[in-house]
Amino acid sequence: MASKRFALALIATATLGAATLDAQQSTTVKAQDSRRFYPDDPLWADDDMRDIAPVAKDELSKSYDFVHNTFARRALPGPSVNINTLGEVPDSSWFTNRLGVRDMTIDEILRGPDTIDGPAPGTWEVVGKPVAGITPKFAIRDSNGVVFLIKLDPASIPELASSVELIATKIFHAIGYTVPEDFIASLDPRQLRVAKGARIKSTDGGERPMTIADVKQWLQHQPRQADGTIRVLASRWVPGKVVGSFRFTGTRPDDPNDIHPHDMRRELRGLRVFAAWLNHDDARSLNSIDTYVEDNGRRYVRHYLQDFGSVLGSGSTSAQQPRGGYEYLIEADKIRKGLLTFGLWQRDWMKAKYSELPSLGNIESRVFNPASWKTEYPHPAFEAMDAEDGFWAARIAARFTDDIIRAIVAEGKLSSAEAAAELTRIIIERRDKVVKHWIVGVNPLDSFEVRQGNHGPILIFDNAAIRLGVKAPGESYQTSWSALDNMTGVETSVSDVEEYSEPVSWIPATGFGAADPSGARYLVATIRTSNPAFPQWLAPVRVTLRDRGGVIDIVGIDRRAGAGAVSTNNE
Amino acid sequence: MTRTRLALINAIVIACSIGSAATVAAQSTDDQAGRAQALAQAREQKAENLSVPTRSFTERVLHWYDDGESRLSWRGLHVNLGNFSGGAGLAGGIGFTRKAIGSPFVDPLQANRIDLNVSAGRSILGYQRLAARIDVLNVAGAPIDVAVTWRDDKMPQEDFYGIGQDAAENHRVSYRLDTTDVMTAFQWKPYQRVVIGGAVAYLTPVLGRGTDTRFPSIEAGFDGESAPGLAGLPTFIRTDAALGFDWRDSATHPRRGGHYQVTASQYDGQGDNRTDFRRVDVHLQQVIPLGNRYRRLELRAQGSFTDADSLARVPVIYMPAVGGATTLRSFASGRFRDRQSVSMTAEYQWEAWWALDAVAFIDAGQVMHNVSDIEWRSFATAYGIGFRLHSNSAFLAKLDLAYGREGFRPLLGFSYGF
Repeated sequence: MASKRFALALIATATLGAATLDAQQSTTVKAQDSRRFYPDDPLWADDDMRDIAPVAKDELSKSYDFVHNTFARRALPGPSVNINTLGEVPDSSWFTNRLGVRDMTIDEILRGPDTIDGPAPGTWEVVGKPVAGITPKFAIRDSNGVVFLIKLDPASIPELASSVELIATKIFHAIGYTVPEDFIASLDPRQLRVAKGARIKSTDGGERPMTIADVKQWLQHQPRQADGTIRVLASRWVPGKVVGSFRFTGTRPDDPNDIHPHDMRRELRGLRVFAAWLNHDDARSLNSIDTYVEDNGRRYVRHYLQDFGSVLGSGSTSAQQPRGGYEYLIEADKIRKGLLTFGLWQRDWMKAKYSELPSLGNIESRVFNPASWKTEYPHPAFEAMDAEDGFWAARIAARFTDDIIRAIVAEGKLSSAEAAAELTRIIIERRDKVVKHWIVGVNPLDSFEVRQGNHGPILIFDNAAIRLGVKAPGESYQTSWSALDNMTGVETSVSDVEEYSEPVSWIPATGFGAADPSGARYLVATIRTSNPAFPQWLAPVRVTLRDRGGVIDIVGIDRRAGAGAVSTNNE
Repeated sequence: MTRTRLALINAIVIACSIGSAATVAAQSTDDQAGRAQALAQAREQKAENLSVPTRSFTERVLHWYDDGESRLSWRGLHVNLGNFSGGAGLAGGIGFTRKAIGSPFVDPLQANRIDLNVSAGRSILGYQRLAARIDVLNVAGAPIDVAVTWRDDKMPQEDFYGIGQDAAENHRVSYRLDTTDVMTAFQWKPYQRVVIGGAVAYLTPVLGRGTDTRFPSIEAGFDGESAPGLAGLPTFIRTDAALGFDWRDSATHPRRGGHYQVTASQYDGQGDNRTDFRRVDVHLQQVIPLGNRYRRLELRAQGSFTDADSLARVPVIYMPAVGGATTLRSFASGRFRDRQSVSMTAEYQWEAWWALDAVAFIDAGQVMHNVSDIEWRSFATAYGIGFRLHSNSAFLAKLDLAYGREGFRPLLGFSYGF
């Protein structure tokens, strides 16, 4: 124990030293150039797909991931850094803005990442049997030569894992993450052949050639559909060379494109909101994958989320454990409380009631609490998430309409219409809960727009909490304006505080600051929202307007003043 | 890459973060410089300081563990810990297990699957066990399992206190029991919850001088009359028949349901019918959820009843007994022996952690010569608390801390036992 403490102390000291260097370097840079905005702001694409040399394979130990994240303590890293001046996440090898920034047709959402229609009919050659993970699976090459991972449902709960994996894939893709192409397919055991040279782990720990008897054995207890086929999930092998999974802290030291610490990436921190929504309690590094791809002549590392077999009510090989999503595997204070209260203290998840429909597993929406939702063990990016990250994610989650969710659930091809309807209801109710919780964490002013009013330009906006039906209208907005000198960062007040009951403010068109070398002038609106029920809304949203030759656009939206660290409700 | 260089690059990256309005861009002072250019510069700078990913010592160790190279087994050979009765002391040994012999894969439902287990172990108190077992599972594809076992035990320090509920603690002696048993058994599950079983066993018990230096050997305080079998035992053929009904949701970590079983046995002393007897064991277990499955009341009752011809005597080693890990837990294993025994347990169980149940229990037990001799006031009692380590559905280990009139007794176990 003493040596462990000593090691932790060493780590803490080293981390603190690095942080100090960060601060010193930042000061130095600031002295050279204090410019707040650049001509190309806001940036909507972060070009991290530059051509790079091959990177090493970096496989993460699942035990280390668990032990390190459960027992090592670390400081929260500060706000997200990979955002543009509007607080949005630019497109990158990690994330592509989709439903959050534009309308998508239901067909487009259902198509998701798919570039083909699934495994081609004809003979499927079994080429291997991966040992990673707990889901029973094997790899095949279809008659077109495309490789798929075939994942099997729990024999006693048909449709459970395959349906949720497909549903989650479509949702995560529409959000913007990179995910594999997944299909629900029907497998006829007669169409399987074993590829020449395919090998398998033998019962004595060695390796031996794979035989068709092995394949039959894997399938013999799988329930048959009416036509004798077996329902499976076919996940297309991701393109490129697999180089491991990504970690939710730090960066890859051999990837020059990877410069933003992963626990400071908004899309990885905001993933917590989506994971809570879909009960993706297995959202750990092991369920990500990095591949070194070649794309339009450039070679770089692409980052996937994958393996959604343990989301919603599924635990991959069984129904989700009732604890899943509510409690880490190890929480000393809860164990202590559990021991000492002689069973009088009951955890929330012990009160959950689940549907009797087996294909839904253990998923519900009544006891679900977005604030206290948890992964299997502590997740560094989720712990680092702040209210601004949550607001970003909640806005995207809110874009999934009931119709979209209904259509996605239908893609899961549950044979019971009752189960599909129930799952749709649960996902909708959970969506409402995550949106309701995270949209109000910061001053939720949104949809800023400059328009020409009767007496000059006006800034209009809305309150996302009202727009999404989380609360009724009734607050007031206090706005003050400052001229910004972009080169020095100095702001000079050009107006008194004005209070409106409507989300609109006149723009003092003569109040823009001095032109910067690009000729642009800047004006900052500081807007507070008064609502006694939400004191955090008094923290201002700062909206920066830019005037370029008489054309005014919005170049900055900053909610950080109100984006404190997120506390987890530990019941 | 040095830590200083890494910190420098991190600082630049954070400083030129794609756009937080409160942060600034990198070194460029070009008037038309852009955010994208600043990020590109940061990437170029990192490209000059690349290094391959490295693993800490802890991570290397846990990788080794994940890869399965740390297992104490090799091609079916494995290390055994424990596996002896209570009081044997710390024990260890080696075993060999091969499942589904002749098949390239292990399938629990495979017809005529053959499993083999061979083991040898020894404890620090001189207990020794050699054992071999062959199981034929799913015979002809039916829900029938057959097993043949051979076991040779040397148990040099077994305890005996005399016969009857009033056997005094200070009469404790030790004896040696060596026995080589061969048994053939079958189990048929005509329905999911119904078990019908049977067995034939050939037993060769030998009672002898105990080696526990703290207590006298058995012959110092007892004779063939007060300790039947001490004067010599024949070999036995035991025939069992069992009927059970089990509707628990898990056989080793039940949260609801019940298990009721009756086993009738006939012991035939070979060449000495003075030791023939019959024995019936009744086992009742009921788990009652209290509101939900995370809080339960478990009730257990066990009764063992022997019946012998007037001249025949039941050897002490086969007598019903109470005391030990599953009955009267604050008393020594086999503390009370007689021709009949009854024991009861009530356990309040609650889930303290998803992998740990805590329990509060009370045990009561009594032995008697005839069932009609039972006296409610004569029950010995034990009470205590315990902990059950389990996976989501199966028992892993238990620790019971039991108290009673003969003191405190901690009991660590690795088998469910009920």
